[in-house]
Amino acid sequence: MKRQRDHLDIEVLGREVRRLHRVEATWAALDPEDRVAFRAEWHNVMDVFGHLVAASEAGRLDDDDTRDLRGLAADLASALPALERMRLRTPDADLLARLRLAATS
Amino acid sequence: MQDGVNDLEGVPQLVLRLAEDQRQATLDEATQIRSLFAQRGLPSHVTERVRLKHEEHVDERGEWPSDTTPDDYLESLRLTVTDARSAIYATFEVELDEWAIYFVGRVRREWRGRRSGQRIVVLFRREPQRWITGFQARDGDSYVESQGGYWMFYPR
Repeated sequence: MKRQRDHLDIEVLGREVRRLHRVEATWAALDPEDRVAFRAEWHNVMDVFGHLVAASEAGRLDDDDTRDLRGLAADLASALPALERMRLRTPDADLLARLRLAATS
Repeated sequence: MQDGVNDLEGVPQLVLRLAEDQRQATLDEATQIRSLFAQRGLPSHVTERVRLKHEEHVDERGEWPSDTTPDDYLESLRLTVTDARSAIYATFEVELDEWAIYFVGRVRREWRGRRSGQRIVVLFRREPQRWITGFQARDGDSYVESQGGYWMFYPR
């Protein structure tokens, strides 16, 4: 059950990272309330990312999900300047570092 | 609906005073604040924005069950705002140069999707009262507490 939810979380995280790139292009032109909505929702997405890293470290993800999560973490790391520009919550640096370390070990 | 327009006239100022003083609302004040945002903040019917948020949080993110209609989604937000057991949180939103008001309620069984959260969060602009979004926060109250504001009302 948890594994199924983790898989769905990874799918949703992937969609949200792709959405981030689309939204970034029009960020300045968005209605301020839409920016507030996106920021609040993105904060929740980052909570989910934290849970996924914990699931990965607990050995709960299968190989495909682990690979996808690492790919998304790399996307997030490269999106850090955009996240800061948009004043969106950034992923915990420690979480990104732990995932990188796990990928190389 | 007994509350007429005039009954709610002073409530936005009440919210502002409470927020600026970081004061807790009384039970009666919390009831007035719920009425204000339920009546003036939330759309009375399904709008384009409701459809958009429904698509994001029901269809794409699975926070509500997949058979939740836009009407059902809007109704779940309304029930969260009006539920006396829901908490109210305020944080100053620089982007709006205005206070943002969160209503934070329990997730009823019939609202639990495949990726439900611990709490439903319904977010508004204080003045003018405009609904911003409604979603299920995975980490519930700790999500809300990380928004940099304070609990204006927290039922015991």
